[in-house]
Amino acid sequence: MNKDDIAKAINSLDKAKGEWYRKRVSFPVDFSDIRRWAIGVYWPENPPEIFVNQNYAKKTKWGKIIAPREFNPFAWPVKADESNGGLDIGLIPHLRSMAGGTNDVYGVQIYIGDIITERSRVSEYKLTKTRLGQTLFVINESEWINQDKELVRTRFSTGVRY
Amino acid sequence: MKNHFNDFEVGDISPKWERVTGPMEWNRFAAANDEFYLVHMDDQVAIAAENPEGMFGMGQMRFSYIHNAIRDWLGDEIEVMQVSCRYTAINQKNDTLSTTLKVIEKITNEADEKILKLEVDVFRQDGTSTTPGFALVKLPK
Repeated sequence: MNKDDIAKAINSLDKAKGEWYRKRVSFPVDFSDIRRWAIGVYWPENPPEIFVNQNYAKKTKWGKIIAPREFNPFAWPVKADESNGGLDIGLIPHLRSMAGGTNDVYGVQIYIGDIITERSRVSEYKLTKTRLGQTLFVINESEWINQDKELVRTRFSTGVRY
Repeated sequence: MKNHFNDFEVGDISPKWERVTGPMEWNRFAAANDEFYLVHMDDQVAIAAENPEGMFGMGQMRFSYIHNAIRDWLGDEIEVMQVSCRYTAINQKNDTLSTTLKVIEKITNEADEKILKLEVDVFRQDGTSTTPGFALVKLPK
């Protein structure tokens, strides 16, 4: 990143920091969504029964199918996903990015039929020199609440921009 | 399956959780997670992005592998409270990825909940660490 890019990025992040910039609501979670996720992350072996077998799930302490903890109920939105990790990807067109890390803090489980509301904001950012040159680490916070206003998950995603 | 607090000691290590991954696994994950980035789908795009070996795997999928390793070791009655990791290296096509978990702390909190703190990571077959971090897991009473 050159000096102009850095100034542009910092200016944008300073304006965005702390402000919830996106709110979206999921479709009701379907059994097929959970099943498909579990099959995908366990492929080519079979997923655990708790995600795919309702008779088995009834006998567990949950009493019903649960979603994997890291399950994403926002896949395949009708409108294009506006996710930008807190820094508009069009702001500096040649800027490269990669995932730097994930920190999930979990609340209640996700069950079939749940509707999840998400809001996101820039939690913090840091500019530092790495082997990639001047590098921005942007931590994006997203919070999920279910239809009963219970906290489902808070995710802190680190995006690396260079 | 052992998942009682007294069953564990600091230093205990889980069985190895392992997968060989490539486009077949990545495409399934991409479809479930809506993660359609061309660096994970197209060799030429990935090479242009300075990965000479072509398209590569998703950090978020390795994150799921950590969850899988926790579930397969500790069962359905646990509650994963937190997983935190960094993506320090990428995984290439047909890498064998493996995860082992290590108990690094046993915690009893104010609510008398029994929690294991685990060291987590996903390694490539050459031993490269790709996803170091930790997890907090509440055990059933």
